[in-house]
Amino acid sequence: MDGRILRFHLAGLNHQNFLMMDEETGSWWQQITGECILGPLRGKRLRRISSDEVTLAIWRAERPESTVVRFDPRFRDHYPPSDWERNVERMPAPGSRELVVGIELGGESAAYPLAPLREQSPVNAQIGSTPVLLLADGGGNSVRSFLRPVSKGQALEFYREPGGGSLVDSATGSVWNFAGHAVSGPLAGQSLAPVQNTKDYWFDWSRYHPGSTLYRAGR
Amino acid sequence: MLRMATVLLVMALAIATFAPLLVAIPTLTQTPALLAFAHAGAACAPALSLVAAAALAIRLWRSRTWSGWVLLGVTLICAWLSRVNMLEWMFSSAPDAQVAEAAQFHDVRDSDMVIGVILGGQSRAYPVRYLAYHHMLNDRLGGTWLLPTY
Repeated sequence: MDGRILRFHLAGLNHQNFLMMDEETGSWWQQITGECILGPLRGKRLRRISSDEVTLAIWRAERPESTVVRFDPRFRDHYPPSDWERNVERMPAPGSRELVVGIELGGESAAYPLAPLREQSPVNAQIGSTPVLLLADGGGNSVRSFLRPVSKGQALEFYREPGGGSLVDSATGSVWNFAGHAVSGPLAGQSLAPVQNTKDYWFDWSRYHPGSTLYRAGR
Repeated sequence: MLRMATVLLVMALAIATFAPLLVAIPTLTQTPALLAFAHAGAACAPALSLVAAAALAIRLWRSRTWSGWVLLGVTLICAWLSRVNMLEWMFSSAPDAQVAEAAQFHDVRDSDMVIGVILGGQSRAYPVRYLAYHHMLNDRLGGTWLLPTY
């Protein structure tokens, strides 16, 4: 921030959305927005970096050269088990704890409930006037979103071949993978532009994105 | 006069020292006023502890009473607490990241979630189970300083 590297620590807890403090100025920042709300740096905002929330298996298969952060042996007993989110779901929340995939695009925001998304994937959607594609994979917990390219005024549509087959586009029949690359067919070699999405609970997403649309099956 | 002042100072110090914990109570609605109060406490407690200690030193130099020593004890405890991060007793901050090559990493299951980031040609995955405890990690990847949070 302004040429100075900040180092952050936990400052507060608030319904799965926490406050962080930088060592350098003691300012407090909101985790979900990256905005500084109190202290000398009030008003500044941390830049969001693109990230991908997928299973370890998917990440490792796509990026074998990647490093992975290891558990610290001193805290081995503190790291939650694999099904830790089920305990979180029992905690009270100020609103619907429905898990959604939230996307902010071109000033508009939309949230797609995760449960129906798993079954309906691939979902050809529209956020504002921008056509997007939502894909679920990896047991249904990994969700990626992309821009659907527009050609001759028509946005590309995607569907899965019958019998749980490959992901193909309706225009050329090219086969696409979960990383948004066309692996065979006329469009082989092309890549879809990724769109950042965030998995969140609806009560939290709607609080920080007032006016966000919540999509329901059939729309 | 000095006695009154030291009592008030230590009371103010105790309030300032524990005010930041107000934002650690999940059931308490975090209004802007509450947040500002908590932050103000965190900001002024360390300096206030020095003022209180100095005032108590003067008071005790003039006359040693047990109440004076008690107040000094409270002051020293607050001086310490205002300089440590009490929240990190609950959720320890992540030490500098130790990484493994993807193929050699086995701390979580293949079906567990990770947050994957690509920067400056380098890729790194942060297990969600790791971030669920530490909440954040001060890291550097591909020349960029980043803070994965969950």
